Amino acid sequence: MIRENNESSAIEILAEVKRIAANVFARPVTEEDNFFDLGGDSVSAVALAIQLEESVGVALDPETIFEADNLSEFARTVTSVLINNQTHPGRRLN
Amino acid sequence: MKAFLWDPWRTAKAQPERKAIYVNDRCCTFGELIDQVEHFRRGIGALGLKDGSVLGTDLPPGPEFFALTLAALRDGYGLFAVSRDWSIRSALLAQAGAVVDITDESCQPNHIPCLSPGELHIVGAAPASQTRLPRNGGARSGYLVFVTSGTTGQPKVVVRSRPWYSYRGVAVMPKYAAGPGNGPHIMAFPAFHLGTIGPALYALQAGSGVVVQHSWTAAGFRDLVDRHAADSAYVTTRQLPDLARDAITPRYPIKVMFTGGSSVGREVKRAVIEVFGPVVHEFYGTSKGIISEVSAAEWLRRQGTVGRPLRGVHAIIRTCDYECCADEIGNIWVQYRTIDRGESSPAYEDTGDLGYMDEDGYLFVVARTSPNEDSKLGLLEHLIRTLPGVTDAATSIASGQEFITCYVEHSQDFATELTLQIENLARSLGIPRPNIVTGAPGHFPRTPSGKLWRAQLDSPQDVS
Repeated sequence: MIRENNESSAIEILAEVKRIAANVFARPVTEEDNFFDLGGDSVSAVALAIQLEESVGVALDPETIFEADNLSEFARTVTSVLINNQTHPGRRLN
Repeated sequence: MKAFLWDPWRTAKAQPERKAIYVNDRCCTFGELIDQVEHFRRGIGALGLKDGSVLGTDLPPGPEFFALTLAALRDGYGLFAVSRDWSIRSALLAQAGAVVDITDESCQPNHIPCLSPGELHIVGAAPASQTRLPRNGGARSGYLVFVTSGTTGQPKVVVRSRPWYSYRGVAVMPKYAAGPGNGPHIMAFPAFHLGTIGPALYALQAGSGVVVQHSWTAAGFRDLVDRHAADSAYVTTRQLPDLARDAITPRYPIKVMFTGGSSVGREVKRAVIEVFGPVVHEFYGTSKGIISEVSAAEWLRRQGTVGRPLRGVHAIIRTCDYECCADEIGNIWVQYRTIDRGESSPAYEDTGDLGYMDEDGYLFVVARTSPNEDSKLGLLEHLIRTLPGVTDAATSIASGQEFITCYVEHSQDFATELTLQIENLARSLGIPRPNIVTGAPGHFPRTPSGKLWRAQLDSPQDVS
């Protein structure tokens, strides 16, 4: 998935981030939602990171989600890592 | 190593013979621990308690205590561990809303049923109880309840917010040096406080064993580190000066030494880092939740700080009527993470601490506040702590008295010079000549969490 161009990648990844977040938090989420406002903690962050890696193939430090103001911003980070990984295979963002 | 989720049931399945809890010469494996947890789960299930009910206990930290705690977390109960030493234990259990007391003491005059761990086993072994055990635990995880004495000595029940999700274990993070591949955690101060229970319970859930050190000496601690190849420990701020004085490095290089609960003197912390290396990891928070943490490396770059508020935690410094600027001392107010806040909590809560935040957002705790003290007192206390040789200090005005008294523990023999320095500091703050009481580290009474116990500091014997 997510390979045509950067713009479509970003859209698809945001949708995937929202789907996984909704699964982790067991409730509907929006792209404006903040991880902590949703009730996030280190356990939720790791659960989200694991599911994201399984789904999108991007290995992120779970604390990366803490840095983002909302899910949309987090999805942008994931997208940039994915694009970076495609350009420079083998590198991982910590 | 990547972070992952883990729980003791997985450890028991993967490594049933791995050592879980060590107390003196006794030890139990993860297989035995989880077996005991399952007995307790069945026993508690057979009692027919409502979801979220609070269980009281005074079992000392050891296999039974941890098994009961894990059973409560797994099946959605609150666990309130309160020492039998509290004279008002019954009142505290009532305040916490405990519905049953799990105790190995003869039943005390509580208003709730008492059961021994053995009786809980028997209840759980009854055939009728087998169907009451939730297969995957409670719909929501359990939670912990604490009693805190603060610095006033007045006990208060603090209910930790209950997670919204079912029990998932813990997130194993490399920085905390606990997990299936790490050595045990030493619980050097086995008391019922978040600061000491939290790291031990984390390590156990992550897959590390827990070594309970019931009798504290620095040499004993060092011996346990070596004997068990311990990778993490929790030591109180009261114990740190002992480690600094002992000044002998364990042969085994411990990876992380957690501390917290009250402010750590810079000199003491520097000395401990010199002995153990940059492994001291300080937490700052309250019984409601962690506010900040700071690694030794970060602290060495900005000495005295307790770190920046954790992501999701917001801190502001306030005085009576306005929010302070950077570096200005005031009361520390925090908004805990949503998951720690609870539904009825106010947005921002006063921590009861006096401090400041620098331009980069690093918090510095200066002193405790109380209704009778103004910020000058806190500032004086903070400045005293920065004097060479001082390991801890408290300032207070005893009820009915006019003068400030400074209680100062110090590690060197220059009490006269120290007294002069304190008098100068007080004068510079416009404080009339204070009474100054000095003593060696550990001289003054402490609260169970290791802070100087102001309520018991009112009768100075050695006023300089």
